[in-house]
Amino acid sequence: MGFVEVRDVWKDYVVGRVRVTALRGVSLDVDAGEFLAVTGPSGSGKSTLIYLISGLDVPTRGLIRVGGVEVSRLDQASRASWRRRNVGIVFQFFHLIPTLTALENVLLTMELAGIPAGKRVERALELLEFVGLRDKADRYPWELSGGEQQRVAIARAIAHNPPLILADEPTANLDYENKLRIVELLREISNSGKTVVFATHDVELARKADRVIRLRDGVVVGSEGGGGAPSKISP
Amino acid sequence: MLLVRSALRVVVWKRLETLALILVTMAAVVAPASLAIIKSNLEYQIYELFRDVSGDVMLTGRIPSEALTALKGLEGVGSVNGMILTFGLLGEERVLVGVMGHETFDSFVKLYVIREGRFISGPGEAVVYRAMFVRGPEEMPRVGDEVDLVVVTGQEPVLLKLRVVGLATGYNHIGPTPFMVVIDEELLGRVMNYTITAVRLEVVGDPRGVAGEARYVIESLGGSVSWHVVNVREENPVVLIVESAMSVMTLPVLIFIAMAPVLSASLGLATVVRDSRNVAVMKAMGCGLWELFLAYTLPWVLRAAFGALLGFILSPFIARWLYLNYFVAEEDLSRALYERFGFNPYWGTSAYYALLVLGLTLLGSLIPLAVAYRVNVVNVIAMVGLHAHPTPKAGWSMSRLVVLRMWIRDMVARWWKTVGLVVPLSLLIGLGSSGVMLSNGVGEWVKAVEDRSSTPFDAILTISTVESPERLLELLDKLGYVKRYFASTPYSLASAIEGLTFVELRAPVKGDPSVEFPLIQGRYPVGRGEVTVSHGLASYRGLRVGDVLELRDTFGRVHKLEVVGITRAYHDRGFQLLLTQDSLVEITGYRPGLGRAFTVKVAVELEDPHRVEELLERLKSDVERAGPYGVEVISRSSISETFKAYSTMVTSIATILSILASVVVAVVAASIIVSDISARAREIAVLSSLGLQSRQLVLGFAAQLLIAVIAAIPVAYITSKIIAGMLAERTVNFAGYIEPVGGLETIATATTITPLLITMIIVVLATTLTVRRLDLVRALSDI
Repeated sequence: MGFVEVRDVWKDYVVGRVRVTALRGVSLDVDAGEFLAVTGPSGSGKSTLIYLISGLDVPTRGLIRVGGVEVSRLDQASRASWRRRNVGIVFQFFHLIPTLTALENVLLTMELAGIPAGKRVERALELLEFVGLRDKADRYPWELSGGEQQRVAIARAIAHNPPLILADEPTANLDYENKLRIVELLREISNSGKTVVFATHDVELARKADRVIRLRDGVVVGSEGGGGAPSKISP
Repeated sequence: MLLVRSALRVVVWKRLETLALILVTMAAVVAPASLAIIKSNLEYQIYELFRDVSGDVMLTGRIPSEALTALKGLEGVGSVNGMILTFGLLGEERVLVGVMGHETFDSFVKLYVIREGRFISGPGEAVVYRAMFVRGPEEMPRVGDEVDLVVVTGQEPVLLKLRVVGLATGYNHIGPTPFMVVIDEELLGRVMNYTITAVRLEVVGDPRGVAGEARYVIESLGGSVSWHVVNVREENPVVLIVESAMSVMTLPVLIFIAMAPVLSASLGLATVVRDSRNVAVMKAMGCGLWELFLAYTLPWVLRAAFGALLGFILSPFIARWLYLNYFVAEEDLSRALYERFGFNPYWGTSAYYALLVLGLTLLGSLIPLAVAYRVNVVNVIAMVGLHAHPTPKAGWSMSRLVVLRMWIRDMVARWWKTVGLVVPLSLLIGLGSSGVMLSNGVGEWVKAVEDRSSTPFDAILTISTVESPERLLELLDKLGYVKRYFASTPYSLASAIEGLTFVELRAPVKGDPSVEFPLIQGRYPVGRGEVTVSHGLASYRGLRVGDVLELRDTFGRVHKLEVVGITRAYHDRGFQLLLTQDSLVEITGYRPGLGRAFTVKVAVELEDPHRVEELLERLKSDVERAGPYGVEVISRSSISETFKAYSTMVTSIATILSILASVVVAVVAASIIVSDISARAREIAVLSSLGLQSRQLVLGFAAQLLIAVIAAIPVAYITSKIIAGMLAERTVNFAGYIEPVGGLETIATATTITPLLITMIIVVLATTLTVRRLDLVRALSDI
């Protein structure tokens, strides 16, 4: 049994009058500290899987357990409460809160997680240092480039020290150099003992993970070991 | 054409926004339009009611019978009817008496409501009328009673033995005293010999000019005119009272009108910001102002047009329903008026408000258009992630309260949302607060009238007599329990000061004026052309000692009076002006009492303030026993009770209007917040992904609402002052000038807080429902 257990998960969406099945009986395990990439073409169900594991959504059928907690059975409020302590999410479009600076975006997660106020700024600055943006701590999101915004988003995702990091196409909107940098950061986070699951349609980037799961039409069609190498840096 | 189709789709797809604006626009039209329609109907009916009794011109006095023939020959005079209008005694009850011939009766007694029995069919019969706003004794003769009516004629009193054949309400006099109609040609000739005390003219053309000529004709035939009234619709005093009363209701509902443009502007701005990428793409494709108008203004215009159209259609029907259920109700006279004149839907009035609201909403929706036109294509298309809005960097280095700061900064960044919330909230708070200020103002009247040191009189007696008042005054001097008194002759002058229905001119006869009118400033008038005005009139017209007050009489002549003093009248209903007898004669043109009964007002201060009720009974009895005097007594306590009732009425009206307004404000505020939630669905989903619970999100929006309430308070304070001032001006004709009293504390009252709480509860419920129904995954997936 892995740190993340996904068992026979189905997910249906109703779009207008049409019922769309995004996942069809997906099962997988992710070990603690593992760096897992989920790949597949657009519409294959990658994002859906990320959202289900994060507790943002619940499966139509099946079970999802993270760190022994059956997330799919929690109600909405309990999932939110669980998420604020156990999960960090990185989005494709960064989604930094536009009215907060880079530093404040990082502080926000810590405030929500109830980390003592005295320790927050120091840790937030350390994390911004880790992603190479300490000098831009007081910038608003729109004053940062796409790559910089995503790095702040990564700092935000790990600020409250969650055991699980989920990233949904975190490199899709970035240039090649920034893509590599983001994946390196995720690798470093994984090396520090955190479980990282990231969805990407970029096969080459996916190979940098410990393991790659391939999805197509909501079904797992393959799993293989990645070629990623451990890093020395730890957040 | 494609963009028009797109606009139509937006209207259909965005159902919440469509429904909200249609409802608000419709309410914005219906509320003022239906009241305006009711007002126009009432004005018309009251004018006609007056015309029924007084014709276009009515003159009273010693009028020779040959004057009737002469008046018929005057140019513009359509018909002439004469009658005696005097008073009499029905047992111990003082009654007004109209004595007329059959021809007169048939020609102008058109509006009547028989409650019991039947109408008069011959001599020796009488109908007793109970007027509107009855204040007199409830004991009335019954149908079939034989009654003895003593008619006061100016010569020997005449005893008439009459049989009551009907009881009626309404007819055509408004006042506390019962009224009797007697049809008796013989009485007309026998009692008054060659005189007729009232003549009623129906006029084609200018009634004012005819009134002057009629007076000349009567005087040239040896008669005299003691009082006259010209019934011009625009200047009809009761029409002005109705206008004033209706304005009190119309003014607050004008706030409804403001809601429509606020809502369209706020929601429109939210849409433009949410769709800023689409706007940028449109501009990149070469779309100009017109295309942006079609895409981002037309949907709002279409929604507003639909709401305004509904409002236009519904207003006359709602007005009729309100009129029949709340304005006519059980009032027989109103019912009679309705049955006689019907109810005019005044489609023009409805159209006016529909176009006004539509125009304002169009203006409101031009604001988002301007923002859309200024969208920077390059910046917006290059933007990735959540929509960004410049915000101040205040407090960025603080590590605490990041969530709170986020909500506050959001209010700065999305200023249109904040403005959209603050404006209606400030109007809502201001409306409640203004009601409290006016209620406090009436409270000051109560205090003044309850404070004997400030208002010394214990009662005001209105005494009617056919003889010179000297005997009455001698009597007052002899009564040991009367400490001081002030006797004066009153004369009500209609429309003498612009905007005021009546002013009451008072000329001293005897006694100490400070009993009724204690001086605040200056002195009492001693010479012709001098006047003291009440404090309320001074405040209302901005008058000071030394200023000149212009009065216009019913012939249109202007009289200039120098203000020599300001008095503390116990209230300002009627705006008592104290002037000399010479000035009174000059303005009215009549010697008091000539050709009609004297009316003397006597303010009395009693020796023993602890036995007021007992002594007043004694006083009334002593005066009535002394001669053929009709006495009405209004005690200090009854005045105080009346004022307390005013205060309750003002507070009740303000509360009801505030609660109604709170629903509209709630719709506006909820629409703005719900639309904001939809526009920021992705941001909210991100916050949720960070672990923020639904209740925390709702709490955030509730905090924003609370901040908007706090931000609205200074604006509300200014608004309340303005609304209270305007309401005070509009109540001036039926309640007197109520000076608004109070400051910021008026905001923290139940009248203000209750509607605010209603609004907040509705908004929080709508927010909770919307947040709970938000599809987080779709919000995050939707590119």
